[in-house]
Amino acid sequence: VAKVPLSLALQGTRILIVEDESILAMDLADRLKHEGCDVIGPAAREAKALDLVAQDRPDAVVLDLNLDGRLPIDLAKTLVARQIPFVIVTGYGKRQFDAPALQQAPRLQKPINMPELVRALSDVIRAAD
Amino acid sequence: MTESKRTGRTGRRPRRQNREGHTTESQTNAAETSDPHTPPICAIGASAGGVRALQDFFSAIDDDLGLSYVVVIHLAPDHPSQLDAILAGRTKMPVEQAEHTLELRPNRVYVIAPDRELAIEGDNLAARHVTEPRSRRAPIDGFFHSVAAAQRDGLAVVLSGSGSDGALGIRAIKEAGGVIFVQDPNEAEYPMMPQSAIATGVADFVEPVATLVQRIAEVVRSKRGMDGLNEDDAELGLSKIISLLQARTGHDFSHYKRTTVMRRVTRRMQVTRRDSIGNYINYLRSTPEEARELLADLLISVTSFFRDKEAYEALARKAIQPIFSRFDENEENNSVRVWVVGCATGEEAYSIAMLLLEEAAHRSFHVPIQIFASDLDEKALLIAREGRYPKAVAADVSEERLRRFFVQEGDHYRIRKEVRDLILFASHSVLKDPPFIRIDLVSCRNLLIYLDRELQQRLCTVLHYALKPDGYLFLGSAESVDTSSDLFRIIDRGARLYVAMPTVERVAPVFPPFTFEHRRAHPEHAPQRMDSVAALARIHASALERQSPPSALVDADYRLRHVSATAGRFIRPSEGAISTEVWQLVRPQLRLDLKLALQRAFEHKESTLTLPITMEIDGERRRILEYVTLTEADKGAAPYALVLFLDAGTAGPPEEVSAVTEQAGQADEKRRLVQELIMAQERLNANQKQYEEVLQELRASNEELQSINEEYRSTSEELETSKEELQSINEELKTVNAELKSELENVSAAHNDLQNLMSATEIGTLFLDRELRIKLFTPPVASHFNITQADLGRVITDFTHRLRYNGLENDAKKVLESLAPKEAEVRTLDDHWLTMQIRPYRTVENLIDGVVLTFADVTELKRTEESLAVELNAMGRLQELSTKVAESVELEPALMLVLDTIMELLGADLGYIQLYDSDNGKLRIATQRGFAESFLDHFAVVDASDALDASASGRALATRRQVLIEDIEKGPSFRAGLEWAAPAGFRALQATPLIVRDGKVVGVLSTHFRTPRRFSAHDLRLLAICARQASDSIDAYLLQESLRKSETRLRQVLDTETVGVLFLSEDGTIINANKALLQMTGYSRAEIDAHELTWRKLTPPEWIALSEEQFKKLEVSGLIGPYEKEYLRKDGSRCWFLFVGRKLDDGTIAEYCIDISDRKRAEQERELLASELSHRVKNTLAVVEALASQTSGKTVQQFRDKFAGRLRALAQAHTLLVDADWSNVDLKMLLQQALSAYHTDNTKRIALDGVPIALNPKQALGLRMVIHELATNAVKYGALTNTKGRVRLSWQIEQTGDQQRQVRLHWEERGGPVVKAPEQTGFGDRMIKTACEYDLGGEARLDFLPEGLVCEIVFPIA
Repeated sequence: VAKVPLSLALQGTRILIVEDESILAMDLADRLKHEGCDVIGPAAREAKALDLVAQDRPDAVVLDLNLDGRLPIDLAKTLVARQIPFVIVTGYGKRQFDAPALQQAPRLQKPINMPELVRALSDVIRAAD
Repeated sequence: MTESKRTGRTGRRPRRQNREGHTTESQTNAAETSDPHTPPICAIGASAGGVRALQDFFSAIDDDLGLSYVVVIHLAPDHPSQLDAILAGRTKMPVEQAEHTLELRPNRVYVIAPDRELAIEGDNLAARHVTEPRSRRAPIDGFFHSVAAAQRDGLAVVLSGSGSDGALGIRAIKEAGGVIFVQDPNEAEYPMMPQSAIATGVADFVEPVATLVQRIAEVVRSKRGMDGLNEDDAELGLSKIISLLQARTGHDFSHYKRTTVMRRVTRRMQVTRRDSIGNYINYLRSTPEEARELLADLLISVTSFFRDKEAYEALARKAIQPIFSRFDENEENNSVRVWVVGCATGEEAYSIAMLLLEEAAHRSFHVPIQIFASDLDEKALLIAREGRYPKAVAADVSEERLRRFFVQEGDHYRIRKEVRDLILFASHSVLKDPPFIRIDLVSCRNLLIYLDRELQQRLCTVLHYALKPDGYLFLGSAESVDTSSDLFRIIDRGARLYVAMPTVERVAPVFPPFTFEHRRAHPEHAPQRMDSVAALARIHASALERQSPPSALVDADYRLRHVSATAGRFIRPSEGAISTEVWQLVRPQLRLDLKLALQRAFEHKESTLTLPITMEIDGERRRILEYVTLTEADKGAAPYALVLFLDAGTAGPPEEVSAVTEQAGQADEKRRLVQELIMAQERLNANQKQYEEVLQELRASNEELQSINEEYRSTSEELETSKEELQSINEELKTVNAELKSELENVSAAHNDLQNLMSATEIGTLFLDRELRIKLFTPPVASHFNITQADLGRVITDFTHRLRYNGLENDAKKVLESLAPKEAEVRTLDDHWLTMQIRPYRTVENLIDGVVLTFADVTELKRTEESLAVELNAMGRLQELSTKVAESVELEPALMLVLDTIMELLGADLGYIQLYDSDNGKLRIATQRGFAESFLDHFAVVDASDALDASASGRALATRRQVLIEDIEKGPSFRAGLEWAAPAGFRALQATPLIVRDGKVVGVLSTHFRTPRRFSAHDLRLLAICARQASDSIDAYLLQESLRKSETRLRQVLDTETVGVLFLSEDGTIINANKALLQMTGYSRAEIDAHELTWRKLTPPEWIALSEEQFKKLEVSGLIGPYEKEYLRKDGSRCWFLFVGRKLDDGTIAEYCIDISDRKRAEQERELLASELSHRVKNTLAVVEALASQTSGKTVQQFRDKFAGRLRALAQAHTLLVDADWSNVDLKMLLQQALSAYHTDNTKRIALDGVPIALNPKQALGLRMVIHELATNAVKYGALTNTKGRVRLSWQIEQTGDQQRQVRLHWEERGGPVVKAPEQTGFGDRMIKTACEYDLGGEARLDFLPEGLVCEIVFPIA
């Protein structure tokens, strides 16, 4: 693991990780923390993610599209409604899951390319301000 | 001269006349005669018999007369004429046929060409195509008129011919100064034309051709002699001639225009062949007749019916209508009175009469009409009274008028008697004789122009006097009443129509001092009088020689006729109208004595010297005596009284009388005498007054008597006319007699013709009278009836005949009763056919006088008719056949019809039609008539190659030729024929190959006959037609069959269940579709047929754009697709279709589609699967990456061992799940597999204890990783580091409150080295906790007890 963060853009931002794969969620949390993020979660279930969003509003969300075989469409709609930006991280191709709530968000492919994720998160946070 | 009109040349104005009059004349004379470039024309007209006359004429005529001869004859318009060649052989002069316009040269002959009319145009002879039929009828008149109109003095020659062509023309030529020559009718082959010319009275010479040419030569020479005429001589001569003429005829031409007079005189000179004026004057003196001839020439005039049609129309509308309109029928003796002045030959008078009659016909009441027509020319009047005009007048008179007012008499038209009766033609001079009075309309056309101004004025006064107030005056086109504009008012300038203006007093015109009766009371012995103005002057002059005092000459009517120069002092006309009566003119004091003296002079032939009368003259009282004596100039001439006014010196004052008396001694006696004298004088004065009143009355009576006298005179003329009419009726009767005679000749000729016709005709004709007695018959009748010429007059029914007909008597009687002709066809005993017609016999008087029977042999006709009927029947049958065959759908019924028809037409007994199948070479009987079963069994289907020798039909098939066998036993025979003819029962047959359009033989038509049969051309033609019919049927059938097959194929193609077919119109409406499409889309046939569906309706919105793009492509390439799109079913569901399509020739679009929904679904599933796979792979890779990232090691070897262990654990978990089909995995199995690697040497060191629990895949994966971490930790640091340590693994299910269950798993290590809690949590710990939380949904607790690690994991299960 690199000692130096990739960017200063995410310093102090509060990021909610929604990922049902435990090892992945753990690793992603480590990496975002390394980037200076204040990681919320990670949440493996949609219900929990919704709770966390309600409890303390994150600056951005990293969202996996398959939570134990289910599409977290309600979460996505809530995020859109509450104007919380999010980045989708998924193994699915572009054409799957093209519901309107999901169309605006940047979509990154697994395995995660960290600089890409950092850039996407900082972009959506900046856009949301 | 005369008031006769000369209107020969329309529009010709009188020459301008200068004061002297004659200068102009000589100029014009010179112009007319001395132009050397215009040779005189000799116009020759001839017709039937004219060629001979022309040959004689040109053989005899001198060829150096300097004339241009123009020959006009009647030629057929479409035949070339040889006349020029004929005449060229007779004269040395060049002869030309005038086909086009030629210049006229002297000593040349011009002959009219066919279909031309000739005219003079300037110096040229113009030839034009005949324009109107009229000119074709009268080419001679046309040319003569043109010569006259061109003012060419010329000669006109009329030769042999029938008809009256030329008669009108010569008058025009003569009027223009030409000389007229006519062939003697006695010599002419056809005398009619010369006679017509002579009848006009204008012919100068009537001679045989031989002398005619001499006369022509003489006339031409005398004409030449005149060319050098001295002008002064001419003028002098003319004056002499005029006075001579006046002396002889009483007509004074001195006031007429010189030109005209000179032209006529010149003409007379030519005719009399005098070459100088002097010669002519001598001739005129010595020959009394010449004066009359000259007068007649001067009076010659030309007129025609309705000359100036517009003027006549105006006359009818503006004068005649008003005259009738104001006519008062209640007035007694009222009539419409018209006076035609200068009526010449009467055309004008008759024209006006026609207008009057036409107008009268429009009126409801009867209007008596009286027309006076006057002229001086007695000859012209004769023609006028006769009212006969050449046929050519038809050109001037409308058809209707011709029918109504004329009767045709031979070559002439004659005015109907009722019209002639209206007109009183009278010899009368308007200038000299008292006028007719109370006239409504005076027509005086083309007279004024010949008079000088003074005479015009006088004439106007006379006409005004004659007219009623508001009466009309009708003048010629070039005339006016400008000289007397106070008398007349114009009402139509174009028509020269005037109306008389009323004047305060009607003034009787002063008649000119003509004393001589110009009318010839008895033309035969009229004395030649010498009285004239000149004579009067002479008498007066001689009287003056004896008596020098002022004087006057008075005639027997007491009219003052002449006064001396000094007599003016005694003339003082009284108030009122001017009269010529002497006592109206002399001073009042002189009147009484003068009257008495004159009476004495005329009645007693005594001279009188009156007592002196005192009167004031030139302011002086003078005593005047009158001396009256009778003078008689010549023996028998009218007496005149000479009045001398003698001046007896001045008289004393009036008182002188009494003074003298007183001087005489105042004797009482004297006083008494004076007294008496005064009384006597007073009485005398009273008497005188009374006398004058009586005289006034007498004068009135006298005037009245004069008018009555005039009317009597007219009546006498009328009587004379009647007498002439009687004479002409006599003439007519003679003519009728002659006609009857010629008719008799015609009848006898007709009889001859009839005789010849009767013997020549082949039609039997039989004339029967009312009792059916034979009147006449033609020879062929004798062959039907047994009659001979001897049987004429016997009743026909008495005779036998050779007809199969017995109704002759009845039929003939019926025809006589009904008068309706009867026609019948009758057969003779020898089988001939006759057409018999029975008609009533009509005489010329339209009476029925029997019957006429005609018999015409029509046997041939009948036979032809029969064969035609057969033919017609055949045609009918064929026509019927053709219709029926066309209607027939099936082949065999059609062939049956053909067979039946031909059998019927040929009278065949048996027959069949075979069809040939070229595929198997077999002939099959398709239809047949009359064959027995056994025959058919054998022949139903035969091999064609076999049949070649075996049968006629086989032969016909092979040779493609018709086979005719007239008799089996004689003709070419075949095996089958020999074998089967007898059993089948035929002797003759024919076989006709049936050949279709492309030349293939498709069958054979055979017919059979029980008896030998010859085939006529007609039979063969019928056969050909029927064979054609059969071939056509077969051809059509085959064609239809192949069409049907092809259609079936196509329909099957269309009906494929899996391919939808739809047809679109150009606007995208679905107009048709197959069943498959209906099934695919769920729509019904009815919805398609209603044309309510369009491709747009069936296409979901997102596919419209693509479809439109495809349809655009269609426009360019004609093709659509293939392309895929979704379609909407009727129920709204979608399905995937693959489309291809094309545009058809008629513009519709055909689209084919296949339902590809299944394929599409499979594709989607595959896509889903691929994406799931991608998700799994990528997720797994991410996990692997995270594993790698979380794994740490002091050395690479260490790291690799750790990472490989974790990766293996992950892989084993997957293996387990795949083995379990990615469904639930048993907990114990999972633990055994995870821990099996550690069992190898420590089998008993790891103890598992628990109930079976099903884990879902995620739980299984998570738990597997947790166990891996626990196990590797135990091997590395815990109980499994040595050989004694043990691990105990147990689990159980716990029931939580709300029906949920959870698993409690207990990991407990014992026997290993002493455990120290690690200083920092490593990946293993985090991994265990995170996985428990995430993957198991539970939690883990780790207790690092010194005796060994204890881990407790709790998680829920279903």
